Amino acid sequence: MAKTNIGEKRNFFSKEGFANVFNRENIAKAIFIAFAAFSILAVFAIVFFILYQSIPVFQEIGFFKFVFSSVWKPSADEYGVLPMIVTSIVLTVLSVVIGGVLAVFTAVFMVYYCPAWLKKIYSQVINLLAGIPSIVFGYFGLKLLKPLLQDMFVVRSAYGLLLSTIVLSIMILPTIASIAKNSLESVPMQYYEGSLALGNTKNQTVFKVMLPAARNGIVAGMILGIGRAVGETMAVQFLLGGSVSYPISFFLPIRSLTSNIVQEFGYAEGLHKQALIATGFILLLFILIINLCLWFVKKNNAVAGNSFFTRKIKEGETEKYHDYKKTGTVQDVLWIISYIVAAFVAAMLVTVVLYILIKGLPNLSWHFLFGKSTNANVTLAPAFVTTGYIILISLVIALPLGIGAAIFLNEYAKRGSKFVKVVRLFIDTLAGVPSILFGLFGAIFFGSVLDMGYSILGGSLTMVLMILPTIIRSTEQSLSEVPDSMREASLALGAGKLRTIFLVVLPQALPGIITAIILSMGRIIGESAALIFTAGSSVKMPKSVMSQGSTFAVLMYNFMSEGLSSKVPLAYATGAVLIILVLILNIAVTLVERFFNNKSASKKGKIRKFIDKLRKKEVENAEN
Amino acid sequence: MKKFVKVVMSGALVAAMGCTMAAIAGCGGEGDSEGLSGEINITGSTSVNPLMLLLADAFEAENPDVTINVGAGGSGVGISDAKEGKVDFGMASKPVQDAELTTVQIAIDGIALIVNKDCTVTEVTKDEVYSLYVDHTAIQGTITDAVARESGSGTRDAFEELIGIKDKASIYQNMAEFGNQGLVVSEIEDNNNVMGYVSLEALAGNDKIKGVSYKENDTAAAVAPTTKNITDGSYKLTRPFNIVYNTEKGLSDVTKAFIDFMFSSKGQQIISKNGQITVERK
Repeated sequence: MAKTNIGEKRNFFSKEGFANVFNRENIAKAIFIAFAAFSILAVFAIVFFILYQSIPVFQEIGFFKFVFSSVWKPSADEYGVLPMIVTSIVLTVLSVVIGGVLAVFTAVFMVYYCPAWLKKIYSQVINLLAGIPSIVFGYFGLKLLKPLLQDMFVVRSAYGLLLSTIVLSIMILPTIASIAKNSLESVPMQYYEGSLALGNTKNQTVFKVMLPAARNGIVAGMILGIGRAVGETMAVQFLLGGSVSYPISFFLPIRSLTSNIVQEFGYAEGLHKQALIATGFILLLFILIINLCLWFVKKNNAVAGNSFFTRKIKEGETEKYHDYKKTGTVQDVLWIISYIVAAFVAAMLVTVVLYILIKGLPNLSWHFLFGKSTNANVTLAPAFVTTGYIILISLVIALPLGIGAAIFLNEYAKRGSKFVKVVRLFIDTLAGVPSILFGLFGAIFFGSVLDMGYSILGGSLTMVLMILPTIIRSTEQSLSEVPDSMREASLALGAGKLRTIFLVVLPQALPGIITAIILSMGRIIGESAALIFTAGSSVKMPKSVMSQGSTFAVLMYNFMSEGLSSKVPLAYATGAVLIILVLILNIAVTLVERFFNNKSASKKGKIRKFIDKLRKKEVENAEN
Repeated sequence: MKKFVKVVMSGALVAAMGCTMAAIAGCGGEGDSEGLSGEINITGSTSVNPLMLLLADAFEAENPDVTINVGAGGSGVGISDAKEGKVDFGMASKPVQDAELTTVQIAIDGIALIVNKDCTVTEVTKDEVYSLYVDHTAIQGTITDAVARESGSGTRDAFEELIGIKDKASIYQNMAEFGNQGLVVSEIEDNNNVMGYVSLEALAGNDKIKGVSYKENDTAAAVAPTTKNITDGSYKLTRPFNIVYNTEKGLSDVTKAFIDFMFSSKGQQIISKNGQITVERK
């Protein structure tokens, strides 16, 4: 028996060449397909588990009563979320309008008016602003802006719509600005030259020709901004005031869908807890609708490129440009405004960073950073380890998943096939899910269903879902940049598809993958809402991945939430550490860029260029 | 070859990160010792949390092989986690009646009514507080607004019970509700005309806020929120600190030892030193 077995094996091996390689290729392809399908599974799992936990509420209260009642009284088991829905919508609309306008001016400044020497520094400003954790923004708003507003408007308390709108606008500005910048840059240069040749001034050209031509990209940026604003949790929880009321005044304590969850979830039990998860479900519906809108816009905007502009160039329109010749006072005013806005945005960043650093750095000591952490004497040493663990575990899981999915999408799938479209839709959806919902899902699925409780592992697995879209997009983008000739050459030399992918294509995509890693690290470091619900908030050194653990952002939240005067300086100090980490990550991007610069012939930074291309692709996706 | 170098370098980077982490984790390791060992997981009331942290530290100092993880979350989380058996016991800063749970009261805590240090009001009556919260009637013409904790908070439950405003309709209309004590303190620090309620310990070391004296009725004497006045029973705004555990699941040996420690003379000392009042074990 044994002999025949060996014989069979030999037989199998002797066929080698074909059968074996053929098998390996097929297995690999199946794995890549599975990885690609994972995002579909993840979105369905999130929707399913959040809906499943909400059903008791919808049964007991009724879906419509839950959505359209304005009474939220957990003590009497009465739950209605209409005031929060209205608040979320009003807050989002105001922030996107204000943040969007500021972002467009910022983008215009960056592309057309920024002096060459400032360009690099200024784009760093926007990148930094995007990287500051939302809890830091919240604390900044609470401690600096709120007293300021109270003095300015002579109101008793500045909690509410105005305060939250200001902070939220600044928070979503980088998202919209960088997309607007890329779509402005992708407007063909001929438009610019043509307009100048017709005798328009530079300001007229920028505001009457280039800006309208980039309209589609700007709209796409706004929609992404809407998604971010609706889902923002930690910052607005500090600034809204938390009362269940309609936002009828700028200075009235109110409550959004997200702040409702994070404010009461910790204390809730039974039907109350389920009602909060149901609030999450309503929020999820919002996000799905926003994503569908984006998808619908893409689908119906079939004409590629600047369809808007090609319409605009009709004869009557060009006449109009002549009318504006030399009389562009409006544009000259806008030009000045764009300088002011750009200065304001930079000033805002400097204020946030300096405020936290000045308040925090004096409280940093060697002991507070690296000393032994006990419950009564908390230090940041466990946060280094916990944050490191979570980053490492989630990357170890998310990288193969994400790269595998990207390989399938770029190397195997037929471009434009139905399956690919569906996968892309779900990846986009996953990218748009707010972190608070990942937190709810993680608490339900990893915490309760898989019985992990509060653990670093549970937190890491939740983070995997959060960073997966970034990794897939980033890798896919850099794979698509590898010239086909390299693949063809490799195949022609006799390498199999798998070998070609791993030895020829993937190494070329390394800059993109490293960028994805750094971006993911930034997201994890800044995350607080999702981790409080999944990894817990213990201040001790974690013993294993099944222990609880707090990252820096979670610790900062804990320090400030206890309300003890001895802990407030620690909150600032932790904030300073967060800011420094964000700075380091930004420097890391620059260093990695330089490293690949030295290795490659291209003069421009590959990484930076890559990030730009990624954003450009987002714009294109939205436009098509 | 260059690509190979790149791959090796990034591999080395990841490995270096791992080593650094292991090294930091190693620093925190504790020496061996005989006796109890194991892990105790606790979640629950943010009010009980600071006290539990101190108790846990002292217990760990005596038993180096024991790790106690104290996570906050709120009384609700403590209760539901204990019920689901997610933790060894939960903390609740309010009375708990639940068929599945066993409750052990470990201390009494005071609730302080706080105002800004510049506020002229020094004492209030129960009726004044009631009217402020229910009808927004200003106290002594000075305190025009009140802030509250969010529903589910143990402090809020206890406060509503003590002032008698439980189930009063619409008292929270347009009133700020905060998800944690830090936001209440921060609001009082910023505002001269607002009153809030917090756990007694939040007063310690904070010179921007002050606790006002409280009288049950007009004839009673005004009593300041101090540990002494809570101990002798003259200050009336108090609530229990409880720990709860799943009766069916019971307690592990190490958890049992920890609870015994709370009622030992050392544990009792910690409780009084932190500003809470000790109680007899029932």
